Amino acid sequence: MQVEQQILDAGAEIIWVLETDSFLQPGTAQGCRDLVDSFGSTHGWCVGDGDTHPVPTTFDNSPFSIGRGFDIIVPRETMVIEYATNHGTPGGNENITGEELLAQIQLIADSLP
Amino acid sequence: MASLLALGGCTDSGSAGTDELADASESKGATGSMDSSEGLESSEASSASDSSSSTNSTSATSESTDGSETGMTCSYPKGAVEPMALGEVLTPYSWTTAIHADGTTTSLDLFYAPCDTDEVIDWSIHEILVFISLPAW
Repeated sequence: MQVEQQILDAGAEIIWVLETDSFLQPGTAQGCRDLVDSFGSTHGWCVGDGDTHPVPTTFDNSPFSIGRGFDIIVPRETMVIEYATNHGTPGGNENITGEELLAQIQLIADSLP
Repeated sequence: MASLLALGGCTDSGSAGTDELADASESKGATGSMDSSEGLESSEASSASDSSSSTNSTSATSESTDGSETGMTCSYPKGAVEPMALGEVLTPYSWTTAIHADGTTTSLDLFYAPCDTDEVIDWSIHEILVFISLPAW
């Protein structure tokens, strides 16, 4: 996952959130790690949405989660969601590429003071 | 300097009480991975139960250019909304278990990210957080 390294190089940290496992049960950190490792991921933190506090499954129930998953970009100092996109089965999902996500991160990074 | 701190939710406001410090310590300590009270020994933090009016803060002492100490308070940004929304502050979610690709396992509390006050995770090297939320199916 070369894009992962480029995301880090752009000053960003990745937080993978596993919404549900393959049996539709709330995701766990270990399940997340196992999944993204299988993708070839070598960076970032993994958490499970079943363990989200104060309300479990907050990400799965997020308005950004249209049918499947989503990405949000948040500057650390402001914690404001500056960009959101969704991915999953085509049809209502934007499904941008990793390179396009990287471009958005770089755009936001360049706008920071 | 002050303007930069203000952008990051850092102000010269007063500090929070010890009860609120206990709340923050309890939140972090729930993982059993660390004693957060040690990390807050020179700071105070509060954690409002209603995320929409979150006023979490951590006091820190910094040294000005003339060598004198100035009291600054770095706070989690106010105005978090539920559900999460574009252009709005994200709730300081936390997870009792987070596993890094390098094998590090700890708790992850977004409350500590803006002010880089986590004992384990060095947030200072990242200016941006990218959440990639996905199901396994």
